[in-house]
Amino acid sequence: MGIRPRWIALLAVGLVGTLISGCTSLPTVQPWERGQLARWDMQWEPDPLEAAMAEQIFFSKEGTAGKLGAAGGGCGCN
Amino acid sequence: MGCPCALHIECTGVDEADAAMALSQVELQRLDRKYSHYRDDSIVADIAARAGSTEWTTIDAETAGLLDFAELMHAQSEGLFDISSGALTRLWDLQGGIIPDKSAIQQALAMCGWHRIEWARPRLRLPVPGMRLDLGGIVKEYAADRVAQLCRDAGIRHGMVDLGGDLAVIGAHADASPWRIGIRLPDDPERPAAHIDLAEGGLATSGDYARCMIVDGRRYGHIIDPRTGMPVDSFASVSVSAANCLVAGAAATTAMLLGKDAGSQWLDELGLPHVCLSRD
Amino acid sequence: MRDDRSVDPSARQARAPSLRLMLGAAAALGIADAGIAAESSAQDPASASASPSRETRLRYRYSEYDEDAVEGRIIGSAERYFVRAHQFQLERDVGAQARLNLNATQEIMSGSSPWYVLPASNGESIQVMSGATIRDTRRELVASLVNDPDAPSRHTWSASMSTEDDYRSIAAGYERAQAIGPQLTLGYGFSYSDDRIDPSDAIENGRIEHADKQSRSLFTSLSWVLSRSSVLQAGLQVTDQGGFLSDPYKLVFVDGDILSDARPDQRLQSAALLRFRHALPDLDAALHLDYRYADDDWSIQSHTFDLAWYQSLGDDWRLVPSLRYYRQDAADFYAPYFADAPGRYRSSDFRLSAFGAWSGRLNLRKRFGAWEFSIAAERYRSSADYGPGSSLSDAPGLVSYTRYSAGLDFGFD
Repeated sequence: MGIRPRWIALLAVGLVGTLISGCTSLPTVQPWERGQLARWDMQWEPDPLEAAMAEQIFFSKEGTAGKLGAAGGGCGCN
Repeated sequence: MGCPCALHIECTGVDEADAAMALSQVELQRLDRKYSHYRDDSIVADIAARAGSTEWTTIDAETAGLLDFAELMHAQSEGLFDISSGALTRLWDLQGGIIPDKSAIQQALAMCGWHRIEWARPRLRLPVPGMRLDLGGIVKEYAADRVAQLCRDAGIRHGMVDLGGDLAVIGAHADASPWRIGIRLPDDPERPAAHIDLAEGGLATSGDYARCMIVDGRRYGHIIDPRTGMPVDSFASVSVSAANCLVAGAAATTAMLLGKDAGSQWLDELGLPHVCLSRD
Repeated sequence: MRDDRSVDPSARQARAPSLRLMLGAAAALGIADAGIAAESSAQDPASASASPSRETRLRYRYSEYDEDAVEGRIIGSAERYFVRAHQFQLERDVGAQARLNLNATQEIMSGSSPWYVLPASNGESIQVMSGATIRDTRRELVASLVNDPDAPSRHTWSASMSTEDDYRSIAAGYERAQAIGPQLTLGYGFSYSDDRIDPSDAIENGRIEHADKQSRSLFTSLSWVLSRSSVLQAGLQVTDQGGFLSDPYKLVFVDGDILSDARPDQRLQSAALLRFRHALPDLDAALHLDYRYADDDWSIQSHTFDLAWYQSLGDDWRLVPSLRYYRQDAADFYAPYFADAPGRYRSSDFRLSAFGAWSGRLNLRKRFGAWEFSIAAERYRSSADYGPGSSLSDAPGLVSYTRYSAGLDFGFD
């Protein structure tokens, strides 16, 4: 108990590091080439209300929860 | 032209596309040879070779048109848009990563200034030795417009020319919808700042992120203020759309030179749609 | 006499610039028709303003959440939760430098919930449901403020409050996004929440009268643009919870006794997340892939996979099918019931059991000018068979549900 959280943090840091170093060889994408990324369907959360409701349900019905970002309130749901 | 170029066209046959592609390549090569800053046999080098002498250079009609446009832009921009700054551009050799010293900048400034140039169509003379034209601020935009025009002449109805971010629309998409151009924050890849729908005309972006060097944490862009000889401290980028790419590009550069408040006000006065992005 | 100044002073008289003259000079070069002014693009709100303009947005969703009846042997009502929810969101600029986001949610819940599990003679189990139908209303308000949403570096402050008859939660958080390169954005932040529970029927049921718990969370993420059509984000989050983490409404069968749910008063959770977005302009579609690995010191490990396909159909229609798979291990103090007395901690809450869950969702959207109408249906099914567990009797209370939602989004300048 208590060891694995540290292990996973290390793993993820390593993963991020690998991706960064791998990504330095990627071509630079200029601002004017990013039209595709500006699309509605390319946002992290295109539908914020749906994402919030789904998060609330999974939070109350599953043993682990959480997404990145400042968390909202908990609930006494059962 | 030293930048990624793309030709997007929508047409019915492969032959049509091939023809447009070939036409475009020939035209770009022609303009590159003629106006390149880096070639010894360009018209720019030819004019520069006679700088400071009493000899005049006779200018062809196409170049004369560009010079007339540049002269008009010089007046419209209160002297900020200046294609006679070749000496300064050379000094700020952006690949070098060295900041020139003050005396060198003063020296270069003395070799710049459109008002010193003697331009009496079709003859041109650069009176100061070392003086040099820099058409970098208009040729790429002009080339985009030229290629778009050639494609239209060749019967292409739907397409867009993209010369490293300088865009000229051949025609809207086949379903008549406009080309959607995303404008992103220069330093923030993740989020869209805005988009511009372009059904016709051109869009050009001028900014300090594309070709710049960073020395001691300061960013030096490729747009040099002809008053100070120093790179401008202005918007991170200015994107302007206009009836053609040439006007859009000159307007975007002028707005960069005018700086944050005056630049967007100037574009407002012109009534050109624009997106100015700042770094905080 | 030559003027030594590099800028001609006569050219510096202030005068209004003329687009007509510029277009005329360009037209002399034989490019484009000077006659076509950029009128069509001037109508585009995004392009017509000096700084990228942002719309005020209003969103509303109504949803109905309906849990399946409990499978297997039960005592009490098989009818589980039914929830009607209303969600409102307002997103607008306040001043030139900040954007406010207000979220209000109301959920009206009714039904009964799993209480405890009894062993049956054949080795199976019997789920006992809470006696009375629970009725409760949850109201939540979340406010967040982003400063300078257009700047490469942004700050987001958020605060929220949620109340139920027997529960109150307040939370606050801060998040910063910072561009650290032309393709990279670093994000980091923290949040804190304080929850208080006052079980409504505490005295008659011998429950705890009131209790508190706190939660502190730290997170960081890195997003980068891989190409002109794909973005990737990797993130890490660590959450430390302390206080009363048990469920006061759940009981545990221990060797003939019915005891209260008892969990440790500390929990350290960590999670790693990956999110990938890929645009397929030829298909007018986008692919979303999300993965989360979570782990905690109660020994619950979980994997979550999310796959969504955003398909545009013409200008106005969008169809978004998505699929999610979740699986977790059991907490080390979980059992459906205990034949022998466990250590200090015990719980028969199905949420701490080993299980897996599949869910599928279909969302259809249609735009009418500034309005967008959205309907969605979701089916969620969890089972011990889908995960590391083995049979129904390991966790008879596992939930399956169907959810429908409909709503309207409205955006204006």
